[in-house]
Amino acid sequence: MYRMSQKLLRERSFSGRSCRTFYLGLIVCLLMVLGLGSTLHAGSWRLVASIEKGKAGIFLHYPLGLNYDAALGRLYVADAGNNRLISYTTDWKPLKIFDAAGQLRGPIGMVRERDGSLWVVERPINSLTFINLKLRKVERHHLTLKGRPVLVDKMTLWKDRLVILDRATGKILMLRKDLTVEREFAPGSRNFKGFFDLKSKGDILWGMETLSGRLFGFDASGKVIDTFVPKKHLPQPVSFDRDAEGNVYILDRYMKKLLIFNRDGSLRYEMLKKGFKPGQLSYPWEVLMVGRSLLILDEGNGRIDVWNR
Amino acid sequence: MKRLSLLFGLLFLLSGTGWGATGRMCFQCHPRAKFLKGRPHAPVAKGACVDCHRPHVARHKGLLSEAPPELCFSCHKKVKEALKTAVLVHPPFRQGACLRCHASHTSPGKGLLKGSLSKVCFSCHKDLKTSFTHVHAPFGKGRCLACHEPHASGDRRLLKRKGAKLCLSCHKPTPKLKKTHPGTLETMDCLSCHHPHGSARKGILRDVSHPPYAQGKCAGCHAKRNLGAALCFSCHEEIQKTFDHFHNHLLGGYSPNPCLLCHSPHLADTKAMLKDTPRRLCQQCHPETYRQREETLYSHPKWKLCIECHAPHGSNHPAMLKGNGNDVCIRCHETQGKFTHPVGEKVRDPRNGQPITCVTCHNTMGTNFKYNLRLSGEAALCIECHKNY
Repeated sequence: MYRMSQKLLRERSFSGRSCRTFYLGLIVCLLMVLGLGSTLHAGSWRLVASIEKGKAGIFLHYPLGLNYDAALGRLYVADAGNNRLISYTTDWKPLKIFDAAGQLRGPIGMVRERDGSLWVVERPINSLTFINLKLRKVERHHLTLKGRPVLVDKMTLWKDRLVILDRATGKILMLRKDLTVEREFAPGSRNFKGFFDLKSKGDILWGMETLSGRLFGFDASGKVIDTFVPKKHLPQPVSFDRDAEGNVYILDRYMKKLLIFNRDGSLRYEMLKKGFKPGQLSYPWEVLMVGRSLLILDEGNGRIDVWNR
Repeated sequence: MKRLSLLFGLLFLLSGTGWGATGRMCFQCHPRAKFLKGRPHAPVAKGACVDCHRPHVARHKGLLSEAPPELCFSCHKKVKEALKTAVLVHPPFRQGACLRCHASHTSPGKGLLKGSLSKVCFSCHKDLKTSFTHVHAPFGKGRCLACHEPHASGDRRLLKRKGAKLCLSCHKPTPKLKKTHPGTLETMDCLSCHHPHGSARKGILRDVSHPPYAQGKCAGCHAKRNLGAALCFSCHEEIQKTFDHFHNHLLGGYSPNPCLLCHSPHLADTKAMLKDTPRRLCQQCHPETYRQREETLYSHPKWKLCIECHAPHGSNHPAMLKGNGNDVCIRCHETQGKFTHPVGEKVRDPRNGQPITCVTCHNTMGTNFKYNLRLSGEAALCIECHKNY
């Protein structure tokens, strides 16, 4: 018995180095098998800031619109529940609060023109409101399309034109300066279910279809030049964005997750989970890529989480 | 070595004695006639009892080698595939409760059903009205599967085919049918006007008529059908404003007239002209919410009455609640509104700075904790905010 244990000890000491290498290799293999690949993707995002308040220290309440002005380096948040707009610096510090002297009603989105004037969507009165800050003038517009009222939703500036999403028709509308409709954007396919979100990326205007999460990319003439179909069922996709590599980020309000897809529609990884703490989601509403940062607006938590990698 | 080969040989012989032998052995105690009466399950008919049962000991009731549904799926692979891919699934099937509808050994009818098809279906669907003046023939004969899929479908009603295709599979497009249904038969939504089970009206038409339809003023709407929702708003003016909320159900594009996603333009069962009861209607777009309820232990007793708490057209609150997370609850829970954990504007959730409301701690759509709490009320929920406890 004694001889046997001595032999075992000898064997152990002889093979100590190769054993270490072997176990190290085994651990690496195991980690790879257990999906380290995907966690590295998700884990590479780091929560760097949580925007929760305006300058006066009042918490955001039902924020519903995000807009980034790259020329000025300003982030604008439509704080619908508090009837105000708030601007933030590039390091996410609150800058100014604007409520048009108490006139603003439930703003759900805004864009800033080059001359500094603002377009705001006031949902409770279904108005596309023009605000000239210099002249302190507020003009409310109730749009119509072919005799039917337009329900203005999300919007962006593209090719020097105001582009809006009309929830009444599910179409994206490009507006002239006089707010008449210059062009309608919708794919011709019969099974198209209307758009729920839009984003402009260079020469392409993207729209995300309601519930399916399919993306259609249009050129300025209104022709579909690119499409994206997620290869995963999404219960309630509400917003999307694309990064420089062409990856598609889709925010799902029901799953309370951000899903990152390859250009071909295959799922790369998912991130975030349900909760109330910073970095968790309650009722997420919008995702926005700002340079290398990922901004996620959460209506339920009244917060914009900023993630960097 | 010799002993080992002998053991393997014995095992091989035992396993290779075939179903006949195992069956015969089992039937010595379990009366054969009882199992082979009616239409037996294929393994039973072959006497292959060991396909499902272990002869000596097992982890599962009835000496089953595996618990249903996995045991059933080991042969019924197509059914398993349907469970993986379908969005709308019959709840017993999703729960893997195969034996709720099917007998394991033998049954008098097809599909190893526990009883007649109608008996099996009505054992759960007790609220379905069964007595009508005019009855749809398959319903009257209890042939539910003439129209419905028993396991999964793309439709909330688990219908076998979409739209008019299902109806036209029996009701051939005769000249008479075409005359009474102007337009393209194939694209019609038959169930919008006809009740699939029965009605007091001839042609199993639904009970409540939209006034313009009852008055025969077809052109009043059809001439302006391109207006979409605006057509409906031209009469129901007050309704238009109900969509002017942060969140709304005006899903243009989802249907040429988004109102017709939920409402029927001609005939319906109720005054609100809804296409179905809210419980079933909402499921078409929100199947996950139904799944959440099925998969959790506790949910709100009025869970089925969606529009009791949710505003169907629009709301300024998340989840389209009829008020904020307090107002909507204290309409019924008056005491809790006055005497409870502090709630309201002045009481802030330390995790996000938002006002604490009932829904901060409760999730009425279904949780695994008593009182629909989001986490265990023992401690886990409280220490989310009260760190020092």
